[in-house]
Amino acid sequence: MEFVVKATEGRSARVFVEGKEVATIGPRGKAMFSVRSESFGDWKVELRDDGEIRPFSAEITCEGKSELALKIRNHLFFYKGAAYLLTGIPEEVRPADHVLGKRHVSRLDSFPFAGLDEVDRETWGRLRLHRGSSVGEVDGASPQEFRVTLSDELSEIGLPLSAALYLLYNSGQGARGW
Amino acid sequence: MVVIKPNRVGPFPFPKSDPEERKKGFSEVEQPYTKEQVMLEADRCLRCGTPVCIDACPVQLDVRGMMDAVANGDFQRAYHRIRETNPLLGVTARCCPQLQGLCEDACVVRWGGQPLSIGMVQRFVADWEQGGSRQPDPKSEAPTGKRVVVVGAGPAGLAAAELLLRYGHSVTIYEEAQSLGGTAWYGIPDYHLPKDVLTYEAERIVAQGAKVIRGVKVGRDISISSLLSESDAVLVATGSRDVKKLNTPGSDLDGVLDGYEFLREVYGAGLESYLNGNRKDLGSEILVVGGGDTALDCARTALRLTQGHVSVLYRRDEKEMPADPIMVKEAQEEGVEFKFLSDPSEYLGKNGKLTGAIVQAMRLGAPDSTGRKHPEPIPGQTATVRCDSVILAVGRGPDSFLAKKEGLRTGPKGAIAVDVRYTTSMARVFATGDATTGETLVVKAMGHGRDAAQRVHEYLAGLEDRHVSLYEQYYTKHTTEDAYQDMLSGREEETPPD
Ligand SMILES: Cc1cc2nc3c(=O)[nH]c(=O)nc-3n(C[C@H](O)[C@H](O)[C@H](O)COP(=O)(O)OP(=O)(O)OC[C@H]3O[C@@H](n4cnc5c(N)ncnc54)[C@H](O)[C@@H]3O)c2cc1C
Ligand code: SF4
Repeated sequence: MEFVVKATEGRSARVFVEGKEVATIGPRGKAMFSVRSESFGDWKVELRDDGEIRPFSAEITCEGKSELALKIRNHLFFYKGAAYLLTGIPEEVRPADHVLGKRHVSRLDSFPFAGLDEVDRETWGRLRLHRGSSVGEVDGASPQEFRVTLSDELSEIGLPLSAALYLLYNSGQGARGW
Repeated sequence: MVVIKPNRVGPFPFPKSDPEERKKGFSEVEQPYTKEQVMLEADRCLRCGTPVCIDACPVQLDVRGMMDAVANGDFQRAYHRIRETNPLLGVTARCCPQLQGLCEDACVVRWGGQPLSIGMVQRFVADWEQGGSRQPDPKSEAPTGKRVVVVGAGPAGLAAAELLLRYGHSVTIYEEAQSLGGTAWYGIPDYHLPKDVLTYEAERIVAQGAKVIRGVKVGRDISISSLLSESDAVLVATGSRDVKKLNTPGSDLDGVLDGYEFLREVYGAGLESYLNGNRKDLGSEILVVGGGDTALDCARTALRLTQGHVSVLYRRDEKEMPADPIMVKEAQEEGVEFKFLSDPSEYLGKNGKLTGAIVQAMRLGAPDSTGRKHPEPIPGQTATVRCDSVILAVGRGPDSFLAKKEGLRTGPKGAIAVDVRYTTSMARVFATGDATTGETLVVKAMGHGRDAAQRVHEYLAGLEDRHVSLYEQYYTKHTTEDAYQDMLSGREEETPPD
């Protein structure tokens, strides 16, 4: 499924699927954003990890639920037992070809850890050596328009993941807005 | 709608000297921008409201503020924007693989073209300052009376010392070597990092008030408990050193060299001293074994020393090679040959002297415990090659000497074990940098060093329970609407301590 995120003002954005607006993204506090959608549900995206604001990290909750739906730490997340890396270099891509253009979401099939807290310090520093297979692409015609294409295995969290990708990897023209 | 200027000023990724000329010596490969070029390049920056390039920088360098200042020709403001969080600005401008998971990889201009040449702009500003426009150091807080000993003057130790000095603590650095800069001094070749740049920036940190005691190996010449008796906290930043030993038959032949020792011999006492002293005879046919940046550094150094034929043998394929692809391309331009899926299975010799190697063809099998595809030999496929030298550059782990000697608890591969506060198993002893992670990058080691220094400062000031990371401090101050407007009008606030 392809989500097209179009920045409006500041960090706010509108999200489209097949040309139809399906969601909005808007600030709701320091490092915290709301994603509202009739078709995909309402979500909260906090750019924090265990309470601390950290780069390329986010905690995603479905509104009305207390447990986290997804936790991204330093580009990495686990979902339904598999490890995924945001903006890594998947196996099918030559590193030399990766310096420009679109970026990938890779599933790390042989990642030797089962959860974020297990990953050791050495591995955190060398995450990009873990290649995996591409299960998503992130591309954009400009900083204002950001396209996220995700394979079916991520469809249940497709909207909040696309919103997090936009908030983490597309700086846009507006300040963070809080 | 923002209009993107898609192409960098000059060639992508940066202007380089002619490969045929540059391989004859050790002069810099990367060629600087002119003043006009750097201003044009900086003006490609979109001055993003939430600059993701800064998120991707381990020391939160204010890329956006630097770009805005340079675009306006204000190199002084640009210098202070960089220097605020990065005391090794000319070093990192040259050594960071910016397109590999760092600032340039993150820059949003990549969605519509080539990302900003952040390293080249930073380099121009650093060279401008070093070339005669000397600027004052960042301000320090009033003396606190607290004393910190830093062990190791590599990038992690130097960056930590700099932040601790700015917090007003007194800092003494113990360094085993005579030179400052750690692995950046002897590991990174002069054609990539001229050592006058490193020396200038390291000495500037020392001039901020650090006392440096050189030629002392902590754990051998002085114990950590003695250091604790003269200080309030000790921060260990001893880097990586433990070389992985291979038991390939023939590894003990004369002519089979350890890559790290080779680089240390060439650059450790200064390149000139090596070139004018007893140079090792490497012959003309050289094999380098390994797939990381160290293998490339060994290959390109050997090429420059011998003008011979240099091949890099790597047991995985090109796509799996951890080396920076830009450096691979540079090496190829200079004539270094790459042989992938190849691994020496035996070194051959005559009268104790290396004469050749049996090279085993490999294929990639199932992933091993590291999660990466394991290279395995293809039965019956070997070739015998002639060579005069073999340089082994197959990776190394954290320096375990001090941990073993002093009983500091270690984790995987002998790395000094630390918790989120960078504290070790010994009271008042903290650790940081590659000693705790294994080999990373100059800027990552600096980022760790600064984060650890922040924790040491909070410990000394009794603020441990009110910890705020340097990233969160940056985020809180710099990404608000007010800060954005301040940046646009050239008045960015200083990051801590201020
Ligand atoms: C060949 C090579 C090339 C590299 N190229 C690049 C590059 O191009 N770009 C990049 O970003 N990174 C590069 N790196 C990695 C980078 O150099 C390191 O990640 C970085 O220097 C680590 O910093 P550190 O301060 O943690 O450790 P180090 O730089 O290793 O510094 C540790 C310091 O501690 C001292 N020391 C150790 N034990 C003791 C003791 N017991 N008592 C007193 N002093 C002690 C050492 O002498 C040394 O000065 C390269 C590494 C190598 C090996
Ligand atoms: S992401 Fe690129 S365009 Fe945006 S502020 Fe950073 S360097 Fe400039």
